[in-house]
Amino acid sequence: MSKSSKRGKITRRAFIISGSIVGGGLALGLGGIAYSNHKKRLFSGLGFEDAQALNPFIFITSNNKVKLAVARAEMGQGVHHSMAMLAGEELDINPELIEVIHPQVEGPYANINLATEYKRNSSSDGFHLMQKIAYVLPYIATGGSTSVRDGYDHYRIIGAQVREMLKAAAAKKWNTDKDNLLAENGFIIHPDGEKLTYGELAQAASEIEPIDKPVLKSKDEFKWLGKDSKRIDLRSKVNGQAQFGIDVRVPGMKFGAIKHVPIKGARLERIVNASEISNMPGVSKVIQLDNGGVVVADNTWRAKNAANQLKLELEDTEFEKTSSNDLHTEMTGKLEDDMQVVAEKKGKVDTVFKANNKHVEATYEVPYLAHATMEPMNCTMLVEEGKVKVWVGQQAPFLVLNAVSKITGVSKKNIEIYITYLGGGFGRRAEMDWIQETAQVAKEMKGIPVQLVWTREEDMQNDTYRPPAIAKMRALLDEDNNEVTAWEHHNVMQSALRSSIRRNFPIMTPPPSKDVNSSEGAINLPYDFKSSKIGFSLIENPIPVGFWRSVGHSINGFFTESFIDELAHSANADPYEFRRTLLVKSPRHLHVLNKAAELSNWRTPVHEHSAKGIALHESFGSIVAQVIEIGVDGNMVLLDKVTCVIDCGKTVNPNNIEAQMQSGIVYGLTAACLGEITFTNGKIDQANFPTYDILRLKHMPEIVTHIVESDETPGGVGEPGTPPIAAALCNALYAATGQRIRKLPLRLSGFSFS
Amino acid sequence: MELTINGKQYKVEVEPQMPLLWVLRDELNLTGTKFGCGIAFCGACTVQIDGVATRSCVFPASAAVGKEIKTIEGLSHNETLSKVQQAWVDHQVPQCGYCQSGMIMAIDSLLQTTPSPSAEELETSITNICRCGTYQRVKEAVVSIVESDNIKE
Repeated sequence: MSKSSKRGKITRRAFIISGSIVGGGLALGLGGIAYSNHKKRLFSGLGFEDAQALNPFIFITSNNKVKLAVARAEMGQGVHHSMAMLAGEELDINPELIEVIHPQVEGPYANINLATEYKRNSSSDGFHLMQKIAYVLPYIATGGSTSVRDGYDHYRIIGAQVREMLKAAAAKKWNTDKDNLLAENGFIIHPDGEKLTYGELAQAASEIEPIDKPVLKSKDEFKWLGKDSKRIDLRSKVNGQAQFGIDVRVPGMKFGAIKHVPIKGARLERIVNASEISNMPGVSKVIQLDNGGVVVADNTWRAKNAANQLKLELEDTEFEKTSSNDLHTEMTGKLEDDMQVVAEKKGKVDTVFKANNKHVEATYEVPYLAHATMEPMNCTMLVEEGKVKVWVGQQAPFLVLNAVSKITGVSKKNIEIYITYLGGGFGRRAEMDWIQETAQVAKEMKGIPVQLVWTREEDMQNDTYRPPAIAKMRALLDEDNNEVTAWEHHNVMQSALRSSIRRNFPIMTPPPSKDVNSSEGAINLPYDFKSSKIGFSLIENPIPVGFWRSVGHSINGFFTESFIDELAHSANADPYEFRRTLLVKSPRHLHVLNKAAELSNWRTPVHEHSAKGIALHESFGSIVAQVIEIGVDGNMVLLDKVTCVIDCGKTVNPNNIEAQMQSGIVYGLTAACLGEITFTNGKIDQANFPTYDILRLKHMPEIVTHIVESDETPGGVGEPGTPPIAAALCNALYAATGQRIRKLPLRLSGFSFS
Repeated sequence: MELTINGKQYKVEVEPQMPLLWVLRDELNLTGTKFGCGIAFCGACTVQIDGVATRSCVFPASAAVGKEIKTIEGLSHNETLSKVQQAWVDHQVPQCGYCQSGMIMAIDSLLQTTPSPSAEELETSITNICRCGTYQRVKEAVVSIVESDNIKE
């Protein structure tokens, strides 16, 4: 431990922790193996200056306040509190008393689970290589519902490590063996009853060498883990004190607004009326970027009014002749072609289909979707000679560090990034387009902090949308209708993964064959198909697409679970029973499905004009089944009740899991019922909520969530609630009306909702 | 112009048509009130003007002169949360939290005029958008407030 690490003496990246930072040999290769190989490592401790560092994660002030570094974006999913629960449990302090701070973009905080997500099951060196790369980058990102999966062991170990360091420090003081001592609720307690607070021991404990493999509590010793806990961030979110990116206020700051080029992929040639606009009241500067014009003014209102009046002259582009219809024609055309990438193949599907022409076939379709986070994109930045400060709510700050360094020419070690709360993320804030814009503006405004805020219209028209997809599904049942002898699924879609990585980390852009997101949720299904062929073909166009809550699962969950339902009806089977027969080799899935049927009273008939629909989908390590009950009156659909069962393995905060299930369901329902982004002559048609509407309080079904008791590896909870709901809803609609909806959103088929 | 916000007087020099939202956020650093859509559609910017829930993103600041403006910052008294705020914490309503200032101000205003709203009154008067889908807990929290008020009476 650095002897100079007293208050006020910590300088940027001069904070040295000696010895292994976190335990070597952690289970599952989580957080820190690569790290512990280093004898010394630098991290800044920036933002934690008033507290003693016990490791790069846990800091304790002299008045016994525990501060925890969590380099994961708090975007509503409750991750800050979940990590506080994991560390707090082992440290033995009430997580509700822990203060969580997002640290700087530094090695110890890399998200190994996300970095190695698709290499975890490979026995190749890929996993270990990616793990090392993750620390060097350092790969700090929040997505793929990985935070708790990455942190479940890791944050417990770092908590237990500090607990043992505190006990060792107290043992030294009392001249006794540390195993005689007890750590409880912020105190180290001597058998005689004497007590010292963690705060009183922090300085001495920081001198103790951490042990690699501290003993962790057993499940029956848990005081907080797996029990409902109240999130530490919510008090500030009910009194207006929580700071989102848009709330950052820095002395002397200016406010910026942007008008993007309306045609996708077009370049801005010039701003016709730049000098006129720069003379408007309060305007300090008009700045031309490649993709739009920016006005910097003394408040947001003046900036956005002025930006709105910018006259942009664009370079000619082919895309201005293209509309959604053209895209649809192109995609449909590719459906009949061979799959560009076969992601999963089992048996001889083609032969089986050829031998029998009684197969069931259907074409499904989903549109572009906007994320529409409630907080529009925004970033605040101050560029000075040789240094930069960034304030932003963002999900992948290591990319921000690279991008800001590249644009400003300032070396990464002189860039400080402060990650605020995110007013919704859903994958949109894994991008950094608006941060790159802010960097260009702040560079022009050197010495003056600038906050660039997109209007809702700019936000909706310049999203990195959920890709559109069309799927052709074919399947064949055996003569007894008991078995699926062949299953074929061909997606034609844009690639979120390739589009996003090409923008943000071009050299890492994977070839189509490595596009794991386009087939996720279509492959590795729990059902026992006798033969299968699943794959996709990609189309390219200038509309940027990206990660949207549950990514490929949101698309493939709808396709597969709708089509399974079609098969059930074609077999004259009950959709629940039909799935059961296919789940013979998947007991966990079967249990989740059974529970959902039981809790929703699946077999109890509903009243006239009502119906239930069921769907099951695994994503991000968790299995979710949902039953929705609806009423239909003409074209009016009443969303009555959703029963949701999740098996996410070991739980952290059940109350939060329930919240995330509700959230994922509502997000998915809005998409299923209303959501659609279209374009005409290269321009996005929707501009604000009236044309991209969101379900409200009055539409809400009652949602009942059940969490399966499980000791399996923790799964994600932020995303898995979304994928099944669209299929469940369409399956219920079919049961109620006999009409099979294969194209979302439902409003296009004339339905409205209450 | 002079504005009365959360019982305090503020003097600002802005164009009369400047929306109250931006006066609060950019001129007075009262950032608890949020920008969501700019067209009075989503409700993130809801404040109370003489007790009435008002979408401040289209409400000219000059129209608020001489009236009592209340923002989320003025809802709690010192460290004590208001009844609605406390119910929001008890029921763990917020997720990202961005829309909740507006949601809470709208609910607080509704409960002042309609202390015991029916489900229909609640659903038709609260049209705020929440992308995290906290609606169910909003309902549960409101029900708990109404029930505990009824017990007190």
